[in-house]
Amino acid sequence: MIVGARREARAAWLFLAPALAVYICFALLPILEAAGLSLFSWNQGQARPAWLGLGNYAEAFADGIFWKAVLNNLLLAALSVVVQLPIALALAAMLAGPLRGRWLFRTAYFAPMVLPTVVIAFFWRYFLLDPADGLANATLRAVGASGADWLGDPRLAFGAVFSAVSWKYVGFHMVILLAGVLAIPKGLYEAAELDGAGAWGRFRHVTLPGVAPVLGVSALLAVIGSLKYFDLVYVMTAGGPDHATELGATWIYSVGVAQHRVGYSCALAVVLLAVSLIVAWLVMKFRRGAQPTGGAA
Amino acid sequence: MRAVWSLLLAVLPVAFLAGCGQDAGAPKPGAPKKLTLWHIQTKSPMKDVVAAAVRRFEAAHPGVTVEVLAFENDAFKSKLATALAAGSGPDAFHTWGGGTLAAAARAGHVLDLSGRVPADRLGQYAPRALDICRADGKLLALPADIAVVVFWYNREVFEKHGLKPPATWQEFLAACDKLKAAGVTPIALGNSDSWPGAFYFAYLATRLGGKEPFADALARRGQAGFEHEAFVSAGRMSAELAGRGAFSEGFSGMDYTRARGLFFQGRAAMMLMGTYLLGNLRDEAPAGFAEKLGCFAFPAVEGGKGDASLVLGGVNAGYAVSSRCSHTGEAAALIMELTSVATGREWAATRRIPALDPKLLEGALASETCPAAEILARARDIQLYYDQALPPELAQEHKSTAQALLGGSKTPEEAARLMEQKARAIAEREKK
Amino acid sequence: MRLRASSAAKYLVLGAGLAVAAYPLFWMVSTGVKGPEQAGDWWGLPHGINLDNFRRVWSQGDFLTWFWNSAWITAASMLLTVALAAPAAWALSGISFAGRGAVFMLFAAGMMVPVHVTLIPLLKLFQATGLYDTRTGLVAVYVATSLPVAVVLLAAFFREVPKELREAAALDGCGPWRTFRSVGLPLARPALVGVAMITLVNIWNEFALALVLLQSPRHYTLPLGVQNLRGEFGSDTPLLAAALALAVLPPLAVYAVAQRQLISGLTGGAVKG
Repeated sequence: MIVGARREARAAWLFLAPALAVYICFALLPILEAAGLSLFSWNQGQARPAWLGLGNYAEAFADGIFWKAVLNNLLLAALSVVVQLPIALALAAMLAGPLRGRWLFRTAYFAPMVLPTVVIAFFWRYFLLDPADGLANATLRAVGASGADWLGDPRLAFGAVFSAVSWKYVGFHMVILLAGVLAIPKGLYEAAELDGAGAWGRFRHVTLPGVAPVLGVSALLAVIGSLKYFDLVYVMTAGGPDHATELGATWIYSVGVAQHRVGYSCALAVVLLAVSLIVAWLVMKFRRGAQPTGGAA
Repeated sequence: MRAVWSLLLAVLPVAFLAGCGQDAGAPKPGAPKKLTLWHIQTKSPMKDVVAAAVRRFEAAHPGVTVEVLAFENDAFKSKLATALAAGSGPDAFHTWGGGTLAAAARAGHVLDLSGRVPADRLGQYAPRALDICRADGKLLALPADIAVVVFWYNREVFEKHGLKPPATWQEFLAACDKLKAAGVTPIALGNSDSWPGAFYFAYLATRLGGKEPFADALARRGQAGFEHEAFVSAGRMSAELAGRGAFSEGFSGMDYTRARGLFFQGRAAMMLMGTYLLGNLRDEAPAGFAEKLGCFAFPAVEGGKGDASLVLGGVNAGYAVSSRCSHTGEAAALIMELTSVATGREWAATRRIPALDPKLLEGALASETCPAAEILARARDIQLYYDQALPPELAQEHKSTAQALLGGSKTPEEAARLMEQKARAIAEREKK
Repeated sequence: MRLRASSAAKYLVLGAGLAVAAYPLFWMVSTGVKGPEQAGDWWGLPHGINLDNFRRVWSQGDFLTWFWNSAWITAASMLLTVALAAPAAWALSGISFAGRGAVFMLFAAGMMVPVHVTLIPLLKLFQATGLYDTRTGLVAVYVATSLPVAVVLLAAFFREVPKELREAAALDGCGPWRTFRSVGLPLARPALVGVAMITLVNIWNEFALALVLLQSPRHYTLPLGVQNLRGEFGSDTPLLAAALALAVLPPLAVYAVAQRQLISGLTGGAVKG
């Protein structure tokens, strides 16, 4: 048995080796080098990094914009789970049943995922949210209200950017959840129907518990994605106005690339990673707690 | 099967690391020399001017080829910053001069061109443009373009409302109010990019206090720093201008592209912008707009201590050589061709102002450019855009506080204090 | 009767959703076919179908190159990611050995690192190894950055494989590799497709790494090429729209064809939906 276990362990390492080799060379080593740089001061006008110790971390903990950005990340993660997943689940539940044109719906909902970020930004900026001619303000004016500065007003900008992000990712979650809904054995629905459950009852007592593990995967992806999100926010607002839509990644970019503070941006990334790991751990724990019998992690 | 895996394991990293390498051997003597040039003119006809200059250079230097790569503005900045920090990068590259270039030079990334450019060639450049390319007693770049920020206005709209180009701030405010009352948007502004709105702050501070408060604050001389009266008042006046509704609705969330669209379509009467605005006329403005376009200098401010002829401007295209370049002679010759009189005359045809002695440009400037060039010629001095003059970190703070001022989310005192705090923190850090 | 009403409502909701989700796509294509006389008209319907924009964009020889590069890089990264992640995930989920938790954490942590801080170290690595400006190098980085999500998702999936199946295979005398091949892989095929699709979507639009790690225009990927077109045609909206449409339609077509497998792939179970 012990010999078997040792053989198993050796096999496991062989299974892991190729992935680990590539991962270590091209992801982990650069990440570790960046983590190392976080202990150095490397700013504008400085030829090479100078040892600083934990100074960057001290600054990071006092950096109000960074913590505002982290809060925005957490808000984005929470909102993504609370807003995107229910919509995605509703769509998935509807698309799971017999439906004409199912193929078209499924493809169309997924389309935003493959659109280049520039198209999405162009569309939201100029078509929907433009202060002068945008659809949103045109509608408001048509009903007699006055238009708003969606991306320029610090009170509105986060919501405006969040709608664009949601628009992009609802389809993605819909696809994942649809798979979960389709995996629920048909027999369960039939049994529920025999028990006299209506459409809502079937959803509540069969679909929801059945899709729970997949919902967990979706939530995990949404949270992880939100905690390092960059693309759409950067092209729509670059974190502005007045840092209202600043995220960890946009601030790290701004500090590291635009302000040439490489060491400090690395320290911020390490702190963001630590926050992310804590959140991910909490999510995993919550998922385990939510399904006492489940084997899924 | 396991043997296959071990083999894969052994081969994979090697294949990745070595299998696809380029021949990185040392260049043989007499072998063709290759230079790389990174620039930001992705658009015709500006792109074609660069290409033509490179062709002239290659024709004059047999055996030297230039790989030219153009990147969109933002992409260029991040690619260049990353490359320089990683110890690589192109042989020659686009620059705006000022604080960012000086910082790159202090980090040892930029070749000092002093003594590499013949004196008669140096004499051809506009001296103020050359100044922007100098730092710490070194010549870091050669200027190709000089830009000046002026108020562009729609003559038709002004005539219709009986307005004349205002000479003073009070007249300017009165004109804005009159247009506003007539239902016309006085000024097109797209401030989500934050630099267009920062022009107001910089111009007002220059009119109120001249160049000195800014130069002192930047050099950390004297007590006031960025909390100087001129900055606080400039902040208050720009916030007031926004408060009286002079800017296009929703300017904070609107970008520069959209704002100039409003101006070109005649939906706003004025726009404060650099001469590069004209580069978009051909593709974006409706036919006949160029004839309606006029410009006037930023108005004098009553009681201001600054010389009212000063203009805000900068070098919007210059070229520098990397300190890692191994063919410095050729690279210097390349950037001299990129900034030559021949190139300059072609550049002028794109409605921009070449950074050359005006005498060399007789008849070359486009008709729309001329009035702005005259304002520049009359100016006793240029104030470099604050965001270009400042080192990158402070530049960011400047743009974000100026944006917050116009958006009304920070008071002038708060904005000034934030700038000063940042400047102190940087000075403190550099002392260590 | 009640059934019909509820299904009408369903179509209404789904149809509205469809319009919201697909309108930008429709806009892109419909703007792309506008003639030059509609250059300033961003939102109106096209007056007719004018394929000149598509022809002009397509004839910019480079476009084909970008396309080929993106397809090559994406396909290679996708296949390698799946090929490396599957055995790794199998080991992490089915075999117990010392250090398993640590390795899993190592991968899990990699999911959450923002890409911009690794750009300088990566560029240095690439300069030192001669990988700079090679597509192979970019593939290596894409695989490395896609592995964490792929490994974590596949491991979660493999954990659902009943232990009895593995034990049965072992009793039949299968070694770990045979067990993986004959039990794990067949069951996992749908999940592998799902992971491949997630990887594809991420890599097809990736910009920051490609910008920094590539240099020659002949190695440009679509996002890099499109970025340059944006500078060049930025004010010619129909031309830009045509270029963007050409960048989007291929992956969308792949998705439309592969979605059946993708969806069953993401069901994450041996159960057929």
